[in-house]
Parts: sequence; structure tokens; C-alpha cells
Amino acid sequence: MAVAIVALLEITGLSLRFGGIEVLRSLDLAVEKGTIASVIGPNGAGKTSVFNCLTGFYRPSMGQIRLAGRRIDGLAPHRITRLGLARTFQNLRLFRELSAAENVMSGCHCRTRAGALDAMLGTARHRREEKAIAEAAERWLAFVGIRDAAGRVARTLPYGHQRRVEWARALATEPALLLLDEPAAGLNAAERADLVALIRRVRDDLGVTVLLIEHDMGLVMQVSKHITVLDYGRTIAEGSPERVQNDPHVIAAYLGREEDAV
Amino acid sequence: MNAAGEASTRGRPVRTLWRTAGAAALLGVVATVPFFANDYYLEVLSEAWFYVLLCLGLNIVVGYAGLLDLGYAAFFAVGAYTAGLVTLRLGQSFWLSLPLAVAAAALAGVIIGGPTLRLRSDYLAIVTLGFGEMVRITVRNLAITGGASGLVGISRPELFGYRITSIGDYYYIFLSLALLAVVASHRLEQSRIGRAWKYVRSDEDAARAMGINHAAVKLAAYVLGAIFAAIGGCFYAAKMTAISPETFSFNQSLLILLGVVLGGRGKIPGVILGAMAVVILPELFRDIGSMRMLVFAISLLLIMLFRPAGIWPERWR
Repeated sequence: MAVAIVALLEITGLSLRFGGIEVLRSLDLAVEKGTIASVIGPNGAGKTSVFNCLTGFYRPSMGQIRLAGRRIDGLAPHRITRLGLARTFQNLRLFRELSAAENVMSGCHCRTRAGALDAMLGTARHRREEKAIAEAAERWLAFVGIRDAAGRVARTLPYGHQRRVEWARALATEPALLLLDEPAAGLNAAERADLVALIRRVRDDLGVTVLLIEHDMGLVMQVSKHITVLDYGRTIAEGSPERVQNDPHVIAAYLGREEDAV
Repeated sequence: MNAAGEASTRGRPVRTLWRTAGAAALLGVVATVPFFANDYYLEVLSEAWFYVLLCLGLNIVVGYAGLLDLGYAAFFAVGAYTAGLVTLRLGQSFWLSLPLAVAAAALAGVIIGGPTLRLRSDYLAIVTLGFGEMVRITVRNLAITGGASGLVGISRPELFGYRITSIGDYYYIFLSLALLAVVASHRLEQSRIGRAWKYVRSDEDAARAMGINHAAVKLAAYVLGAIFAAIGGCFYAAKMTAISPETFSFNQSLLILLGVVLGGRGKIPGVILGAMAVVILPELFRDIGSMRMLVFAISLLLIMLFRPAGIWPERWR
């Protein structure tokens, strides 16, 4: 590598083992600042495990993870979020009994400081922050296009809107890098088109770098600048959408190899 | 939005007005009780307000943070014994015991909660149960705390030269403490930390992914609950002038927990009702003598059967 590109996220030699099972095997991955990148691969390739290592829910067995040059592997999830990495979940993990606005407010927690004493005494800091948090919740819900849903209990919202609440909640943490775990799962054609626009707005309007895991190849090819293909926990191909699409290893991984055919 | 939404928006000011009027009338009655009630009623009602304070404190732990605490009476003991030791053994003013009790309870809360709050709730229940018994057995066996007979002759607090002795005075003290606890609880509920408790209770992993330090947030709840009980304990010692280890038994912890769960944990009006119920119901059944606790137990079972979420359940949205 002659020219060092500006990598916001840099994963080197990442391995993850659960007992005798090797989930990730010496994985390398870099995400350039200000771009949209994707991780694809067949089911069980280890995609969500990569996300869980990035966000601190799994502790990697080996390897390093750097966010803007700073080591984040081994840190607790809340500290990683504070350093600017936010995620959405493959299966929705909203606070189901709370309102959409309250859900989004959870993202503001790590950017505010008022404690119990501030709350009980009603200090200026408490009042100032509460106002800012309420405004942020409204702003992020408006950004994802569901301002009207603010007061609705999360579980009563239609599925597509619940996904957007998750987005708003993740954006409220003011991330530098947003991880989206299968954002198109369960969406209809119209919602999918909105999703493409939303992903681009996150990059263009907010300057947030996006890394997504997705099975919807059309969507991946449409939005990604760089794609990493995983199979059996290792990188089998990477590069631009065109390059990945024509890579024989990728075709083999998805369609099966010649010798596998009966 | 929809029609139902508009109707409820229009109904809100009227309802708020009724609520404010109701609350003002209620406050008027409870504030004038010492002018017409006899000492027996004052004694029972003081105890009821005291339990409102304790139950609201435990509600922060159990209701807001969703942690099961089976040794809450230990923090009440920390407060009571701090007041006793400060006035009897150190010969200092009662008022000095308040900051000392708060510090002692907070320290005990951090020592017990720090290592255990990372674990799931069941482990915490066992540890708190053990802690409760530990405190009781320790004060029972130490000479400085008066052993099994406890501390007797704790001096009354003085305020601007006035000695607080009458039951009427203590009625107002416990009423004020209960009201302060209501205001503090309400403010906590509506705050950043109050929401963090809800997030952690609702989905711990999602809360962590949102940047919330779940262990720190739970510890804050545990320590705050401890402080409420310790402050209550100081005034309890001042009112009784004598305290003994058996006041802080496992049954005491259970009774406070019962008040929280009975009324509806997490809801301030519910917890107030629950606290009142655990004090006043046994008094109402006093005439039936030995059957008293049986009837009390049956009425609790009935409430649990017919109102499993508590007397005052969360509004269905």
C-alpha cells in the first residue's frame, strides 16, 4: 500500500472464536471517511458478529479495531457509542413501551451530563439540557420523516416507522460512523426507495459515514462505494460494486461452486 | 392526528383543573390533621407518611431501575443508628447526623451495589438480602450500638431553640419528608436519569448501544434509594428516641417492598397508596385481635389477584 487513505474505521486481523467455532478469521476491513460501505455475504458468514465486535458487545479474540485512529476493541458498548459509533439492530430493539420521542431521547443521553441532583433541584443545566433533548428528538424524527409519530408508543407504530425510530435514535447519539444491520429487511418497494434516499442524506447532509450489512444486492450495489464480501468469517473479495459483482469467489459463495453441483 | 387524540387533548385542561383542586383539598386536610385528630391517629398517620418516604425511596430501585432489593431496611438502619450514635456517643447535634447518614448510606450503597449491579437482578436480590441481615446482626453484636437492646435515650432535635418532641411536630416532619420525596421522585422521573432507568429496564443491551452506562445508572438508583431511607431513619430515631436491631429485620424490608409492589411500582400515586395500605390496614384490623395479620394477608392476596399491576396501574396508552 503506497498511499494511505483516510480510514475512519480500520479493522485489522480481527478474529472471534466461541469455543471451538471460528466465527471471524483474521478479518481486515477499512471504511473511508464520508463514504457508504457495505458488508455482504451468505447467511452465517459472520456479518452481524463484525458489528457486535465493533460495538463492544463481543470481545474479539484477536485483532485491532480503530475508530478515527483510536483503538476501540475491548471497550464497553456505551464508551464506543460516546466515541462516535452508533448502530441499528437487525431485529428491531426499540424501547417498545415508550413513545417514539422518548426512544430518540435515549440517543441524547451520552451527549448530556445532568445527574440526579440536577434533576431533583431543577438546576439551570437540567432545564437547558431537557429543552435541548426535546428539540433534538423532534429534529431527528423530522429528519427521518415521522415527526407526527413523536407521541405514539413505539410498538403501536407500523413496522417501517419503527425502523425509522431506530434510525433517529442512532443519529441522536451524534455518530461519526453509523452501522446499519439489514436496514432494508421487511420493507416494501416504496419504503426501500425512501431508504436509499435516507442513507444518502445521512452521508451528504450530516457528513456521517455509513457501513451497512444487507442482503438486498440491488440496494447494496446502488449505494455503496466499497463492498466487502465475507464467507466463513473471512474476506473473500472487496472493492467497487462492479469489481465485486464479477468476482468468481463471490459468485461461487452465493451460487455454489462447480464441484458442489450434483 | 386522529379523532381520539384531539378529544383527549381538549379534555386535558379540565382534567388538570380537577386534579389540581383535588390535590389542594387533600393537602388542606392532611396539613390540618393535628388540629382535630387524637394522638393515636397522629401516631398511625406519622408512620404512614414515614412509609411513604421509605416506599418512594425503594421505588427508585425497584420501580424505576427494575432491581429487586430485599434488604432495604439496612439503609433505614444506617440512618437510625447514625442519628443514635451521633447524639448519644458523640454528644453532637441531631442535625449533624443527617449529612453523616447520607454519606454512610451512599458509601454502603456503592460498596454493595458496585460489584453486584453488573449482574442480573436475581443475584442482586440475594446480595441485598444478605446485606440486610448483615447490618442487623452487626448492630446486634457491637457494644457501641447497644447490642440486642439497641440505643435508648436518643436526644430530640432542636430547631432555633425549639425542641421537637410532640407527635404533632413529628407528623409535620414526616409529612414534609413524604412531600419532598414525592417532588424529588417526580422530578427524577421526568429527567435524563429517570429516562435512562426506563431504557435500561426496558432493554438493557439497546440502552448500552445508545451510550448509556447501565451499571452506573443502576448504581445511581440504588444509592439514591439508600439516601432516602437513611434520611428517614434519622428522623425515625429522633421520634422514637429508642431503636433496636429487630426494627430492621427482613420483615421490615419485605413490608416496604410490599408497599411498593402493592400500590404499583414505578407510579408515585400507587406507591403512596401502597405505603398507606401497609401501615393503615393492620391498624383497621386491630379489633379482631389474633386474626389481624391473617385478614391483612388475605386482603393483600385479594389485591394481588384482582389488581396484579398494583392498586394504581400504569395508564394504558
